[in-house]
Parts: sequence; C-alpha cells; structure tokens
Amino acid sequence: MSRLVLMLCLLMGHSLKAHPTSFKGSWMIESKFSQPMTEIGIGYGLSSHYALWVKTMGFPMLNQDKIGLIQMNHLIKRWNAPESQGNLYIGLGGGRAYHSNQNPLNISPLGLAFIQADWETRFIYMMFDHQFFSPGAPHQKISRFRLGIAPYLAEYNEQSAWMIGELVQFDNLDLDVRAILRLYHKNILYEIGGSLNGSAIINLMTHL
Amino acid sequence: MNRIVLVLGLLFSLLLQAKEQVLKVDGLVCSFCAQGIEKSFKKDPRVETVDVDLKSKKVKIKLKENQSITNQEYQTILEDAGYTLIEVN
Repeated sequence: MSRLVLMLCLLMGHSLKAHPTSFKGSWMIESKFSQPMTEIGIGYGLSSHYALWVKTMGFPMLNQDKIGLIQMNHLIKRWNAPESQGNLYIGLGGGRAYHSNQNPLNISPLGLAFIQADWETRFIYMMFDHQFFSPGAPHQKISRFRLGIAPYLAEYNEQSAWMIGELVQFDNLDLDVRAILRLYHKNILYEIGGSLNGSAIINLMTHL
Repeated sequence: MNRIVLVLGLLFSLLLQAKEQVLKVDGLVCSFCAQGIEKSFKKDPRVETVDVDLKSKKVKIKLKENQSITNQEYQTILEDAGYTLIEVN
C-alpha cells in the first residue's frame, strides 16, 4: 500500500525541485506537475559536486509535447556556515523533443543549460533557478524564485514544515504565483499547495 | 615496573574500546543534510552508530570496538557528503 502511495505521489508530483546534486552514491527522485509542465526525474550522485540525471518532461498546454533528456549537474560552490548553507549550481543536458501534434511525429534534438542559486537556514529558504532550452524545445526559458519560512524548528527525526511562496515564468508569459506547504520528514519531502490560476499542487521528492 | 606496564596496558586497552566522538559541522541545516551525513558514515565499517543533531549542528559517532577514525578521515567523509568539519571532541 505504501508503495502504491509513493508511486501515486511520484506520478502526481507538481513543481517539485530536488537538490541538483547530493552526497556521493545517492539516488534522487523528483516529480513535478503543473498546468504548463510535468516532470519526472531520477538522479545519481557521482560525488557531492556532480550528479547525473535522466528526466522526462511533458507540456500539456503545448499539444502534449514531450522532452526526454540526460543532464549533468555540477555544484560549483557551497558555502557552509554554522547556521546556513548556500549553493551555486550549473547543469547541461541533451536529449530529444517529441512534437506529438505533428504527423508524422516530429522528433528534434535539444540542449538544456541551467543555473541555480539557493540559500537556507533552519528558518528561511530562498532559491532561484533559470533553465535555458535550445531552439526546437517547447519552451526556451523557465525561471523560478522561491521563498520559504519554517513556522517551527524540527529535529531530524521530526516532521518539519515550510510555507513557501513561488513565482514561475515560462518564456515571457505571465508569472505563475504559487503558495505551497512543504512537509519534510527524514528523506521524504512532500509539498501541497495551489497556484493563483487555480491548479492544485502535490509533490514528492526523496533521496535514497 | 610490572605495575607500570600493567597500568599502561590497561590504559591502552581502554583506548581501543568502542568510543564515541562528537563532530561539530558547518552547513548542517536540513533533514537531507542530516541524511547525507548519516548515510556517508554508515557506509564506513568502523562506525557503529551515527546520531545527527540539527539543533546543535553536531554529529555523534560511536565506533565499533577497537576501531578508530582520524580527524583527517572525518574531514574527508564530511567533505564527500558536502559539509565542513569544524572540530572533533
């Protein structure tokens, strides 16, 4: 039953973002779903500074276009401080875009580059990322900013919670404003929330 | 002389018993951080238990009997996990 719930959460995940890299030998699973984009990814930590990801993305509002890609993420710099941690990441990926509205099915190569910066304490969490796609991809750029606040402090073995505000922009379209409640216990992270355009959000991320 | 040897022998054997060390770590701010550190230490066959305290930013390591880990090794394990060792007690 718990496996079924886990699988359902993975398939229903919305707009969740795993850390681009993790500790050596780790497996990372993330899922995202929103009206403009769905995403499921599995990553492996080659070291604390490099991780290899395989991802699939879908774009329900763009005639069900899909992307499949392999991506290498690199932690450029981590600032470890007594009460905080900051990170700067970059990533490069390559794959294919499937334009399913075209007959015959049009498949085109694509490239992806991203940059991400984050900073967190046990009270505050901030993250910005920007993804650039090559021509041929359904979108050319996706930007996101997150600000989260923890209403209480939790220990490692306790359930922690974060209240997060998120702004997302695809290309030059209107900003999507989202409110998310993040629940965090050991290596499982869930998010539930909604966007001002009315779409619901349920996310799951885990590091194994 | 025999007594001195005996006392030294006892002290040495005590040193080789299972021991606990407390590491002060920078960058330890979330459950994923704690999990990464815990998993990295549990992979080491010399480690008996790992206890991560997010509040104090300390990691308590209990070693198996007659095992030891140097400060340099602690530093390497933590760096591989992505964190910074400040001190070992």
